[in-house]
Amino acid sequence: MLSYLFKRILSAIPTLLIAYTLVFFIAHATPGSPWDSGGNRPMEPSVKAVLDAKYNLDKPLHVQYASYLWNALHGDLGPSYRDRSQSVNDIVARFLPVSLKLGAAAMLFAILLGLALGALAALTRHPAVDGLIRMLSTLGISMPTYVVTSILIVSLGVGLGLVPTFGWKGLFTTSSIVPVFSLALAPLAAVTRCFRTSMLEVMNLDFVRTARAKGLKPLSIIIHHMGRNALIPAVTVAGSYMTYVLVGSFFVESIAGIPGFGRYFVLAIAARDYPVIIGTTLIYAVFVVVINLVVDLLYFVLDPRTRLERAS
Amino acid sequence: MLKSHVFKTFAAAALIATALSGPALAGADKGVFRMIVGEPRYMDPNLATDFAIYVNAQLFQPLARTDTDGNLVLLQAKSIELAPDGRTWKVALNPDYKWSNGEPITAQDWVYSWKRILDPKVGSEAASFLSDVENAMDYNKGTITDPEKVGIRATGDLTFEVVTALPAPQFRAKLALPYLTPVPQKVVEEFGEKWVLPEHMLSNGPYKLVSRVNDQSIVMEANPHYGGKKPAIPRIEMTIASGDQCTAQLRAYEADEIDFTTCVPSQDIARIRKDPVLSKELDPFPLAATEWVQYDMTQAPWNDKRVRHALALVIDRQPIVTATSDGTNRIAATIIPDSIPGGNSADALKGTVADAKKLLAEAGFPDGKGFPQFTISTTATRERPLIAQLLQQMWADNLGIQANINVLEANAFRAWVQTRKTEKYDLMINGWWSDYADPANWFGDLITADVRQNHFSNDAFAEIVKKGDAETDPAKRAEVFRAANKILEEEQPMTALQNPTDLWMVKPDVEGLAHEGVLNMYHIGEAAFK
Repeated sequence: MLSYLFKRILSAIPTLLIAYTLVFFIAHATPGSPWDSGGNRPMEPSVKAVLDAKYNLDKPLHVQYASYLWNALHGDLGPSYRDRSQSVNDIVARFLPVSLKLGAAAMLFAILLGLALGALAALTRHPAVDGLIRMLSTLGISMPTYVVTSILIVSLGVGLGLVPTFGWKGLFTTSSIVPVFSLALAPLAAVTRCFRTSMLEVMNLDFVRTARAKGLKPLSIIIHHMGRNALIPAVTVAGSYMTYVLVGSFFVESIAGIPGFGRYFVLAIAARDYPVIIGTTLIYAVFVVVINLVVDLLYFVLDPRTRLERAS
Repeated sequence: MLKSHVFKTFAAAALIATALSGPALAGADKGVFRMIVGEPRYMDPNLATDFAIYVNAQLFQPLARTDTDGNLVLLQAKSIELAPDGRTWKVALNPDYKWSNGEPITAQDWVYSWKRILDPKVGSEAASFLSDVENAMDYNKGTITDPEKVGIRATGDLTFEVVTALPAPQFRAKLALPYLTPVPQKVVEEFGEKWVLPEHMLSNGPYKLVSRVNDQSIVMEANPHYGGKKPAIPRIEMTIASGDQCTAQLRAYEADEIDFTTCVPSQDIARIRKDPVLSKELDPFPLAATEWVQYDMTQAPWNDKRVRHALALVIDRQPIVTATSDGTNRIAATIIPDSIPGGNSADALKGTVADAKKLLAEAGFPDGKGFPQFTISTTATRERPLIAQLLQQMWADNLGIQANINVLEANAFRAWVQTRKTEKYDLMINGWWSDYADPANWFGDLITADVRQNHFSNDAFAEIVKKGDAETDPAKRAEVFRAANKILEEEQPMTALQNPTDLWMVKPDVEGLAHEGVLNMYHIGEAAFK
């Protein structure tokens, strides 16, 4: 198990290096400069030269590539060009927790409700209930987040006045309702569908019939026997949504005015704020690697067969 | 078993209901002015020239303001006099104005700030506004390194003078610019870039900075040491929006979460104008600004005046104005707006579609035959792609010529425009917003300096503009520039399309929030709740 872990971590290093290289060169190849403000008049070339020199943008690309990598490995992700009083580390410390809180709440909501609805759809004796849940889950997967967020804000915020139309006051206030629900909708729909399907598969397996024949309580059968086996595909699905939801959905954060990581990332792209772009991509890449690792490790917990395979 | 289930469900529902029934946002506390703004790139008033100036204008104040007749209304200055040589501006500060910690604002602060704008190491975008000042641009470009040579000097604790290289009547209007405000020298020198943090910042305007959370909120409170009329509104809370601020502002305004919005998304304009309540809260302001389509004057067929005239004469501007703004923008037939001295819409090209067809035939392209396919380049924002499509349609329908449209992302478009200095193009859609109310801003900064890479050069025009620059009498100046305007419109290097209109919405319980200057500034310190 430990050697497996070690091998996985080792193999993450080339992945991260490739991600860094790609984002570095793509960011620098994009036309436009960090200093082009959007004011009426273009910047004086001499002023631009001074700023380029101050931030080492006048050095050859491979020198910049190496120096940024060296600093990043020492924990310094660079200054922000867009906001000169902050560094990328400041930005990460300030905005990532908001996205993480939001994402964690959305994921928890999606998983709990998704498992419950999926089980309900699989076990119900009323085909109408199953049909309704399947229809809602199709809607949930197909509606884009920016549509859902906008509709919710206009109906709940402007129309009914139940939630603020904008801004973030904390996870346990009304301002989190719209973003959490919008972020949770797609994973909720996916988990529901997936869990329903795998529950239906497990339902007809031998050990379930045995458990029923033994006279075990229905709830106990559903949770301990069926549920645990049906969970594996659902875990994979949830895992694939986890990175997207945890590190911030740009649309939801922008439209609902959440000061989060996703919104900041795309603002940095528009502003050509290279350190922020590269730094946030690196963090995102680390998250993806870690979460994939966690999901794989979860299989050990859920499925004893994988433990045996590894052991042998 | 069932009963406890039912109880639990009821309890949960009741809890949710109480949580949701509380007010969605703190109801309007009548001492607080709430608004939504974009994140200011700089809170330092000497650095930014984009929309950050509107936020900073609540905190920092220039020497004076220009009224609609072009006269200076003094604020931080007690007097501003121009010496008989026409080049030396003598400023005496009003000692009633103090920094927000009570310390006096000295002439040294002002001199330091204006030289700081020019300092090449600071990299301020506002440096070009001081271009008239003696040695200013040389210092900014690094040709000279001694700031003492720049023509800005303190002559006493509360007096300083500014010397321009040549007599520059347009400098009067520049004295009122929001970028030429003072910063506290001691604080800036001690804390460097961190001087803008609320615990360090000192401001000379009606408000002081109480808190700022990047990309989240800015809170200001009344400056107790402000030397002018004390603000009636004690506190301002700004929430930061990114991306589409107009949509966020409108939604929050309609939900009563903010008191004021500075724009309306173009797709909502029609609905707001028809709404019986909201239409009364709409507050439009015609900007001294123009959007146009321009030709690369160094390329064929654009260097042929007949071709430019033909394209200009078939444009119907009404659909453009309707599509982009439901008619709130105004049709512009001339580049320089009427409100700028020298501009006059009577100088517009006159002619019919038939005239246009004839001109195109004379140029060698009867019915558009043989006319090369060309590209209209535009930025992706401000509804400009829509304008490009309308133009493409009008030219195809009336002249039989084929245009392609190249839409670029905003930042990439700005970079692309810069490269047009040496690279060729066909047409581009661009615009200019008046920085200050003087013909020099249009005839000089825009056209003669060719910041939009139009490559227009005309000897008669250049002669007249030079004459106008030296003319200090305002009436004669307007006359001289009018002659230049006639040449500009006859040559048609750019074809004007529309003058944008700013649309504010203000809650009915707010009074005194006026549009100020060509930049359409708002001054919350002069407003009050009824």
